[in-house]
Parts: sequence; C-alpha cells; structure tokens
Amino acid sequence: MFWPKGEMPNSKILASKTKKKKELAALKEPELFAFLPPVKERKQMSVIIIPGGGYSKLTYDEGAFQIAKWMNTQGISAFVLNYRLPTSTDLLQREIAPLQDIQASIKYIRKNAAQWAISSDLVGVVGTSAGGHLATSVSNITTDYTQLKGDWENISTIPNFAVLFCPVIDFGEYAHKGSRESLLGENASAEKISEFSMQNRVTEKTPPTILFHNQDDTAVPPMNSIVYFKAMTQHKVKGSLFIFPKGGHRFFVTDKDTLSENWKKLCSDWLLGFGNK
Amino acid sequence: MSNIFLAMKNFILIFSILLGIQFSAQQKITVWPKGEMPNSKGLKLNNIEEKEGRITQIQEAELFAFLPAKEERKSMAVIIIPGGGYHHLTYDLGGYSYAKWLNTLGISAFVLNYRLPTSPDLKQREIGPLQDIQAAVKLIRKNASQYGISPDQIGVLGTSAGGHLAAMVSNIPKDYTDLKGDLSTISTIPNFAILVSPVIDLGEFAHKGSRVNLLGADASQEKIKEYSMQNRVNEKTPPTILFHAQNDPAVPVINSILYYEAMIKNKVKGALFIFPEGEHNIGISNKSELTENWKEVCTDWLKTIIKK
Repeated sequence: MFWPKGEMPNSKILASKTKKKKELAALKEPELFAFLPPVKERKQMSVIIIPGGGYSKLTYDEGAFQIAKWMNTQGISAFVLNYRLPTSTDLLQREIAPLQDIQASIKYIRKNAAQWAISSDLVGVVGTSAGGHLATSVSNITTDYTQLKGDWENISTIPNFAVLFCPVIDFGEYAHKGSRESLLGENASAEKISEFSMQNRVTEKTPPTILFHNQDDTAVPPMNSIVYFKAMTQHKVKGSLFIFPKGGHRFFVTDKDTLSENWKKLCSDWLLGFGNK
Repeated sequence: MSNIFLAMKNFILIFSILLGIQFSAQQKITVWPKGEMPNSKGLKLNNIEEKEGRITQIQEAELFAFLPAKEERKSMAVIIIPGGGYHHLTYDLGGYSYAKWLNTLGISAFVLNYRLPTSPDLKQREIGPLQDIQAAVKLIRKNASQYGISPDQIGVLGTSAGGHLAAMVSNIPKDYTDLKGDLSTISTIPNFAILVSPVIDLGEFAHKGSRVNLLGADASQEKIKEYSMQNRVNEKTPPTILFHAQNDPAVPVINSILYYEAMIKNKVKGALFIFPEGEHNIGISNKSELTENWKEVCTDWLKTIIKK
C-alpha cells in the first residue's frame, strides 16, 4: 500500500465524517507488488507495471507478473500496480481514480528509491491494454490529482519513459468501447471523449515511449498505437513503434512465434539505450 | 588506322576481363529482350558513375544476380531496388550490400539498376522505372527454374526512392512492359515487399527531390495523388513489412505510417517497425544496437511468408 494512511483521495468511506470501522475494514486500497532483482544484478532503472482489463478488472497475474519477472532478468526492478477501478462504488469521481493511484505510486517509488538502490529519475511505466491508457494518462496529464502534502508534494508524477503493449489510446473512432464505458460511463460527451483520447494530450514534454501492437488485434485496433506515435512524432517525442503481423491482443514473455519473440530484444535494447543516457 | 582499331579492341578485351574478375561474385543480366525495351528514343547513352557507388545514367535496365551456394539456396528470391531520389542509383550500399545479406539467409537476390526518370532517352519519364521493375519481375519468374527458385516467391526490397518503386510495382496492376509472347502473361506483381525508409507520399510529406525527378517540377495535383503510393494500396497489395527511423531527416517517417495505415484499411497483411534512430541510413551495418535488430525481424518475417 502506498497511500499514507487515511490520505487516499476520492474515497466515499474516507471522506465520510462518520468513519465506521466495519466499512474501513472492507475498503480496498490500491497496492504495489515489488519484484526486485538480486542486488548485484540490479540496475538504476525501475518500472511500474500497469495491468489491463478494460478498466473493469485487473489482469495482474498472466500479464503483469510475467513482465515483472522478465524485467528482473534484465536487472530492472518492477512494481506491479493494482489500481482502483473506475467501476468501484467507493469512488467520488470515477474517471480520475486510476490516475490518482498511478500518480501516487510514482511519487512513492521516487520517494523511496534510495531504499531499493534505484534511481528516482529512471522510473518508467509499462502498460498493457487499458493499462496502456493509464500509462499514457500519467505520461501526459500534468495536473497532480494526488492531493498529497509535505515532502510528497514536490515529487513529479510524470514517469521518465513508457513502454506500451496493445495500448488503449483513442476513445473515439478506434476505441475499445468497454474501456471507455468503464472509465467515462455510457454517455460521455464528445469533449470528455476527446479529453481522454491520449493522442490529443501528447506534448513536447511527453516522456520517450516505445509501443508494441499486433496488426490482428481485434480488441484494441493497432490504430491506437499509430495515432499515439504520430502525435509523438509531431511533438518531437522520441520513441519507437513496432507492429507485428500476428499475436492478437497480447504479448507473451514465452512466445511460440519466433517473429513475435523479438519484442523482448527490441524492448531490452531500447531500455538499454535509454538507461545509458 | 587498323592498328589503332586493333589496339582499342585489345584494350576493351583486357578491360572487360578485368571487370569480369572484379565482379565475379555476380552475374549481369539484361532485363529487356533485344529490341523490346519500350519508352526509348533510341539514344546511345554512356553509363555514368558520378562517384563510387552512385550511378547517374544507364543505357538500359540491368539485373545483377547474387546466388547463394546451391546447397544453401532456398526457393525464395528478392529483387533489390536501390534508392537515390530517382536521380541516381546507390547500387552498392542500397543494392549489393542487401544482396549479400540475403544470400547469407539462403535467399537469391537480384539488384536492379533501372532507367532513371531523368534519362534523356525516355519518352515518358515517370513510367520508365516501373517498366523496368515490371520486366524484371517477369524475367525472374520466367527463368526461376534455371536458378532453382520458385516463381511465386519473388519479393521486392526497396530503399528510399527504391521503396517508392517497390510500392509502385506492388500496387499498379497495369502492365507497362508491352512484352509479347510467353512473357506477356506473367504477373508483374511481386509476392511480398520489404520497404526500408521508403518514399511513399509525393504530396505533403514528400521527399521533394524524388517527386521532381519522377514527375517533373510542375506536376499536377492529380498526378501527385496518383503517384502517392498510400492512395494505391488495395486488397491485392502483397504482404509488406516496413522499416523506418523516426529521426529520418530526408524521408519523414510519416511516409511509412501512411502506407501501413492504408494496408490496415485494405486488410493487407504486414508489419511496421519504427526505430528511434538510424536516420536515412538503415542498412546492413547500423550504429544503433536497437536498429540493428531490423535484420533479425525481417528474417523471421520472411520465414512466415515461406510457410504460405
């Protein structure tokens, strides 16, 4: 748990004046699961892994834990984030809760970086599917929604880099509808859709980003990655875009397909080039 | 007089023997059957190599065959189309170099030196290069068994403006060769395409040199649209893989993105790999470790093509 006790914003239970013990016990708080390489193999770099699940569930095991272990094989520390889902009944404002959680967790990792012998300015995010939407949200939204005070206040919420797998980006033409409805509700206005379509939020300050997608992804069309990369190029944000012909809506650490397997080499070389700078 | 003539003849003989030794690795093939090259005013032109590795003028289209050892030869072959902004041919860096690499994969390679649209011999400049690659595809298919390769596993690989020509031959179904006889019925469309830092768009995102050299300085909007290859992609476009560097200062990366978007729309199978670095120099030997991976990715992709 990374929110300082009682400071988690956007919670009906914590906001109510009569905090009942029973309700407090049932309160689900977001969590980080730490995966650390042996000290001797540990590099300065770390990542927060944001699982997908269409903003209605968290696919933390199959996707995120596997990627965390692979990151460890590269000497990179990994933290898997289980964030509050926008569908949670405890929330006061649904669409900012996942963002608050990832923003707070970035602050938390940076604040405690020395403790893990990692660098506070080599903290990246890895997002799969809807987790990619959250990874790009935290990459681009500069407002700090955490309401954290004291020495927390001045720690940046913007990650140093982002790695995206089959990310949800657009909430318009190429949207994964489930993600949009879970995050924004069923009748989101055109303005809201545009605001939460992350290709519209890219600026020159967007951190370097690498994107992986499969052409035959029917859940989240590859156009999502393409529109994001186009916005990056327009704003001179450095990065990579790799679209493989096959693989559906996922990238496996143990992939049977030799072509798809190359994602790991591409990703580790990209991270390596990045870590050296 | 006759002595001088004889001396010259000897000189030419010796010169060609030297050339033969120098280029013993590959075999030169004339693309057009004698007297059948279309779109020619019949001028006699010299081959001009402006500087080493850069040819600015040729008389007629030529293929240079690079064949792997018989024991290692697969049924796949690739015609390599060098770039050079439709102004010259980077036949070594953008041709021979790729050919040797493909040979190490067991894939036969043929480097095409095509007539440049700037050639004074052409009657209609913009179709000259297309005619040459179309004829080359036909010729390789016709002679496939002679090389021990398959006529339906013939791909094209184009770099820069060569990528534009590779995209042209992939998408333009009209046969401009005027070839007769058994060559007339052979398809001009390759079975797959590899595009490296390709010129695609001749409009907003154009490499201007390529456009001016191909279409002339005052091309109409219709012509520009017609020759912007993202507009020509259709459901019959062969599977295509694209490689580009985000920091390409000569041919903006959006060229590859536009083509790939059109492929997705038309359900053409393929892949797109954009590296942060590599500029306009993605090649067989790259400075960036990351960019160097393009060869491995391409090799694995070619294996998926063979299965079909």
